[in-house]
Amino acid sequence: MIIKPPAQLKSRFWVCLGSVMFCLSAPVFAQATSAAAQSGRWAQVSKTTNADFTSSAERGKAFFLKANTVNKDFPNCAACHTANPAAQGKHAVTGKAIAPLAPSANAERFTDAGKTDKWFKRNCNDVLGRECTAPEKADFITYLIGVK
Amino acid sequence: MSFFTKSSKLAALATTLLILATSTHADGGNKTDKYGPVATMPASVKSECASCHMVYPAGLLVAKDWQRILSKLDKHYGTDASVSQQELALIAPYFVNNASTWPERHVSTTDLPRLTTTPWFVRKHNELPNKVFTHAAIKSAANCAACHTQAEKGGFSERQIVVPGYESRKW
Repeated sequence: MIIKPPAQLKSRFWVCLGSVMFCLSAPVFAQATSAAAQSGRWAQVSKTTNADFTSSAERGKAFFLKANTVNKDFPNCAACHTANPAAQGKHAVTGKAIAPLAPSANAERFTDAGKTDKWFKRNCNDVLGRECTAPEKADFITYLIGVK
Repeated sequence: MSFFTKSSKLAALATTLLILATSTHADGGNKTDKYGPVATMPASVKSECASCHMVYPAGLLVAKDWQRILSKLDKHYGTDASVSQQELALIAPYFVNNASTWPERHVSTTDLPRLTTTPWFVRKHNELPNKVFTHAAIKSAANCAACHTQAEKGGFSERQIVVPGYESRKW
């Protein structure tokens, strides 16, 4: 007869301590910002290669909806976020609910630059097979700000 | 030492161990902690893993398999789930420390480990027809919460199972 050893207590202590320490340190990692500030940041970067660049909500919307062929599970942003970014989304593979992407429907969106950068990297790689460019990011956020 | 003394000693030892194991369990939570502690889950595990899928119970794969998954998060079952080294350092200990210590049950031999391919998982789900897992509301065997209604809280009791398409059936 094999009985699972009660070895988890020690590790539980460390996990507990770890999570407490993380919660305490979280404010240090968080880079508070806003959708407008992040859109502005990417527009600034875009100007370094194209002095005439101005963000366009229209281009951002087209980018959001454009069907790509890189990944059949995630052809576009709308595959998970739905065609209406103010609505609740649904992960195209797992079915897990995703909170709305538009700041008008979800005030938390784009308020943490680290989080925004992380998801741009992941999702652009999934949908386009590459990272998104600065103009794409500026347009994308500009479009989302305008969605009511 | 007579056979009876030997066996009663063994029985006493086994009972003691059983009580110890049970009391540890009662101490550490309840039935909902059976396959991996939910109460002590770090915030980083919740935010990083649970954005896309439920956090799979740590105790359903061995540590080596969790390490294989965590070392390839940029190619995570068809998506880029990469995290920073800083985040990884906060996530990895939870899975490794709470991993299964039963290789005969919880080792996965697939290229990227899948707990749905482990001997234990296959045995536990062998009475289900394959089409259950492709039901529109279930999608795949990895979608625990589709049938285990309390899965995200760590509850996998048979009484909590409702299988889409087989709602009236008891398990």
